[in-house]
Amino acid sequence: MLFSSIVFLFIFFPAVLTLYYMFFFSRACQNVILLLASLIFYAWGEPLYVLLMFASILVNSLLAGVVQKLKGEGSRKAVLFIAVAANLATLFIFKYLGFVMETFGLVPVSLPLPIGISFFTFQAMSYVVDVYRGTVKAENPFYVGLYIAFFPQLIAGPIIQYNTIAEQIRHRKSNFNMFSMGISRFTVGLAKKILLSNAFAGMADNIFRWSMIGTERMAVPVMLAWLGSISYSLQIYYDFSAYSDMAIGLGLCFGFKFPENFNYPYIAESISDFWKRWHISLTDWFREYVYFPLGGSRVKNQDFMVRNMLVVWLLTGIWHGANWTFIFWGLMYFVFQLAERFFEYPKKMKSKFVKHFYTLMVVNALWVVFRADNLYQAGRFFMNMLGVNYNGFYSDLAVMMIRENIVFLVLGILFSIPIARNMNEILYKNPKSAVSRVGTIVYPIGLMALLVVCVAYMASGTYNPFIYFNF
Amino acid sequence: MARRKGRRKKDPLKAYILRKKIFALLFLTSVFGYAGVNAWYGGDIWLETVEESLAGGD
Repeated sequence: MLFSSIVFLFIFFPAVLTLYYMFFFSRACQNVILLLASLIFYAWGEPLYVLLMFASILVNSLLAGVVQKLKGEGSRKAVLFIAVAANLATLFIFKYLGFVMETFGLVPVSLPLPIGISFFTFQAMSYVVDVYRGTVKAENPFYVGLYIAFFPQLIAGPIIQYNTIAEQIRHRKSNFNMFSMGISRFTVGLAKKILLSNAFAGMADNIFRWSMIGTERMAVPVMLAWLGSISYSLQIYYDFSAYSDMAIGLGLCFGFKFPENFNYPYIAESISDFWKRWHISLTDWFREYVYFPLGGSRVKNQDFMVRNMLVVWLLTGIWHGANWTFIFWGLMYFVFQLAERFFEYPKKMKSKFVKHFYTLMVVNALWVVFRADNLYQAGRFFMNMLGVNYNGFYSDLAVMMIRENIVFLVLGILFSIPIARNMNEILYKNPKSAVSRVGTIVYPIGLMALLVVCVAYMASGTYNPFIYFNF
Repeated sequence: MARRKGRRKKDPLKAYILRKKIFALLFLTSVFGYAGVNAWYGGDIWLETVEESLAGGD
């Protein structure tokens, strides 16, 4: 089920909300309702794979319990190994088996990808590892189930570590203030997804498709190629950050406080800075469960640090999908981060503009690799962007697309910088001011208008893809 | 003990939360209102409206 669907907004969500607050006197009952609702939410799109979810919950709870009970370090490690192997095997079979078989020239097995498998498998794995480390206690399968399957963050994160919400599952406070904050955040996310991301998706998908029409790759003009890459950069940001906004907002509606997943990544001043702002929960996960256990950067020999970084970025690439494009994309980030660490050139750049420009150019170029169907298309697309494909510069089509989407492009660029946050701060520095008072009326009406427009778009079945559902 | 005089300092977040609360009320009214009306008529009004508009009706 999509958050940006009529069924979710007008049937599922009100029903869950009603049931949840009907049992305001019992936290246990509320948790049962949330778990059942989460399973229905998942089963809606994946009726069969909900069994996989059940299996994941049961196996990980069981193994975590065993890890906690065992005394010997060797046996504890063995059980942890089994748990991690079971999770990775699940991920491998459903996500990578076809790709590996194809790579080795075998006829690939095509299993449909369970939605959000990378997200819930990583959460499940981190839970068992945390129990092994002793940072959390093994819980009953019911709590683990709610942690793994909780519908706001089930399909596209943020990836939450168990100790973040262990206490919240048992003793959380929910009140109308939190609900109001949550529902406002959800609506902002919905508007980002429906109005901005989908508009950019239309442009990006068309331009990337045109570059692959027929057996011979068409040369799209420079202007069009750049419009395609910039549209995709905006699309992926608004798609994924919108989902995180909706997830965080829905969490608040039920009293859960999830960590932030984005912090204006396109204002980053280096690639390292970009990854501190983009998909923060995934970066944290890899740092906590891969980079640090390998030794991190506190190693005697620099070679080991390079190896650790390589492993993390290779895995980051593979995590995003079974395709050489993702692996190359991850490796390129490794190269840039390594270069930044050794040569420290972002620090040497004096102009902020140059720092931003460098970061945006690299990120935008690597999104092309990420978006392309294969490395060949990515290469051709780069040639088109650089104008070395006998493709010319000017494109009437690009001008037409820019004219048609100028409002979305301007808003998309404006809201990718912290303009809204800064305006908020100015507005509420002096709550007595006339502007602040007007804002109190204009904000809810404006957000309501956005909701109505979003519902109209959803009802008319406008193009509505979600990129991170595939991961 | 003398009472401290003067006006209580206003919470700067009060107005911020107030506007969210107003929106939450509007949201709940419209979502539950729609769900209620839809249940009353026993059909999907939105989809019917859209189908009509796609077919060229008013």
